[in-house]
Amino acid sequence: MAVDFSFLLPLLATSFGIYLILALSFNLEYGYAGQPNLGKVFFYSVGAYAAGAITTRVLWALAGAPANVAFMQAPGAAIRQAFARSNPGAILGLFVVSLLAAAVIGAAVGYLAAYPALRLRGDFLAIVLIAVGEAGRVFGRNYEPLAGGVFGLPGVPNPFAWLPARADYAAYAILVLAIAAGMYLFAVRLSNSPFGRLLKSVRDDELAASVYGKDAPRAKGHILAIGSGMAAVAGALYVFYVQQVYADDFIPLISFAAVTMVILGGVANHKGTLVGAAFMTLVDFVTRPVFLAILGINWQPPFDLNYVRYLVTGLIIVLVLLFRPKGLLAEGPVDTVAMRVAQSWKTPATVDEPARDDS
Amino acid sequence: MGPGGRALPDFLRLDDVRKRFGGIRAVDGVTTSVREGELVGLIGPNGSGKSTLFNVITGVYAPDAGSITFRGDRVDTLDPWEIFAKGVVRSFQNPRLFRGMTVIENALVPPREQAGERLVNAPIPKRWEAQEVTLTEDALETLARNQLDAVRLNWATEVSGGQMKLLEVSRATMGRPRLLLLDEPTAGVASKLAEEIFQTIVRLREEHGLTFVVIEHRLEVLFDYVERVLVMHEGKILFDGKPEAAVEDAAVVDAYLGE
Repeated sequence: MAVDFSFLLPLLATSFGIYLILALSFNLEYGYAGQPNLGKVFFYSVGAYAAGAITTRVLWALAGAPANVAFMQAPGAAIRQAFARSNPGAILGLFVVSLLAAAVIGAAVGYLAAYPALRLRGDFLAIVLIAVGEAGRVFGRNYEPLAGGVFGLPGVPNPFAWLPARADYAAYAILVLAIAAGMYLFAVRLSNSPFGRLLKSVRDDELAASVYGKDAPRAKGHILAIGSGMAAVAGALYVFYVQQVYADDFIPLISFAAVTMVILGGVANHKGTLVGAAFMTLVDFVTRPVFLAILGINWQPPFDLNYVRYLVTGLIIVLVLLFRPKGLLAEGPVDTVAMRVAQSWKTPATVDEPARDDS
Repeated sequence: MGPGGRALPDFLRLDDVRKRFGGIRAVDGVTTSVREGELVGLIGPNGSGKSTLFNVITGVYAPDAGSITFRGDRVDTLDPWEIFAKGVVRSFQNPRLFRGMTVIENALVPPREQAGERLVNAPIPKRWEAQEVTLTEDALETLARNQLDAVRLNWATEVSGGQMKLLEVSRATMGRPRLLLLDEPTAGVASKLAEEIFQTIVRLREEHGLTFVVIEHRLEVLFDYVERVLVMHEGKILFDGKPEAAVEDAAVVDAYLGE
């Protein structure tokens, strides 16, 4: 049975792009600044909720939906989808606004999260943030006005809903990949700048960085804001991809998937993150029964295939830490302005010999 | 009193500074001052409170009591980076190099007011590249003077112990200090290198008017270069005066020099 790649590829590409942004954000926070933000999924969900809440409500108002149709349920979702299909400008505009809002809200929440980060050592911060992520998910599940509670909030249209079927997914995949590529370039620039050096100094020795004039708490706040803003953008992109907000999507596994990508690929190495994200996208893909069906594999394993994802994620972390602690691509000297100047530098004769007083 | 009997304003002044850890009085009522341009040796047995005193001056620990002023401003309530901003820079006894960076990048951490360290400028190289090139050239010259140019591209963890020590000291000088606190700059380096480190100190003092307080156990080297020593013992200043007088002082001999 032939595999329908025109269907499969956009899905894989979209997942990869979203995962890549998430992993890049974790690499900036942990790889460069030493802040293990294991509550990554929380900031991802903040972006998802922001995008979902804004898009659905504005569409609802624009569509002038009748009061007797349930906003949170299928008929309401159908009205929003129909409106998006016939109003490309509206949905594209909403998409852009949602993304920007997600970035800003995510960054603000991330900056607040830096508050405990100033007081807690890395491992305690990690535990606290896992708890924050879970608390956020439980809140989302139970507070229906936010996004439908356990039922979720459907009807967040694909920004290209006005294109023919399949073309909409393909166009969205390209858009997500383009945004991920932009994020990649941004992360590389940031980490190769003096700001990146500042982060590394805080990571390597916070005390030494402080006495050499670096306001370490401020640096941590800045990078957690940037990382959380990026994670929130990934969350917003996810919502437009699955076209609904669903609280139970935001499980700790998402955070650990980002951790695994970075540890597998190589901490503080963006190319490694790229490799890790690609690998974990494939793991995610082969452990979903629906994808096996798409591939034409008609196999019913005698266990729930979904749980293999958890096992594999944990196994990869353990194996990498045991056998290749620096990841597939270790941190290397980076191509910074300083390194370029230093490489081509010739010691001038005037400073060749240290000044001597005993001449 | 300065030359000619004129009173010079205190550059660094400590008034009854105290710091205790549990039952240990690490710094127990230190009152002293350092004048601008001085090169002062700080000596004393292990555990006498010398490094703790540096930690208190640089804001690593807040003092339990007493006050510290630098150029007339209280600094004992400030954070380490604020004290650095005022011009107090230190080195560590055991080099605390940034392990995930090369030698040149280590030297580039302390320079002040780096435009590219600001988040808004960082992604736009145009805003900081020129400054970065100048700073890098400065740093390379400093490294060359301290015989570190051959290892400038190495990881900071991949150089010899002596080179780490030299990097620790050269890195501190990159912070354009007014007052430099050096914690055993020559511990673990060959004696020829130790002399060179002190010659660098003298040169920096002459060329840039820097003020130094140097913790040192190598008295034979130290006493050749300093005109004043402070001797610490059990958290207190036991002696303050010329090195020649210190070796004659009964209390100093008893507590530290021995025999």
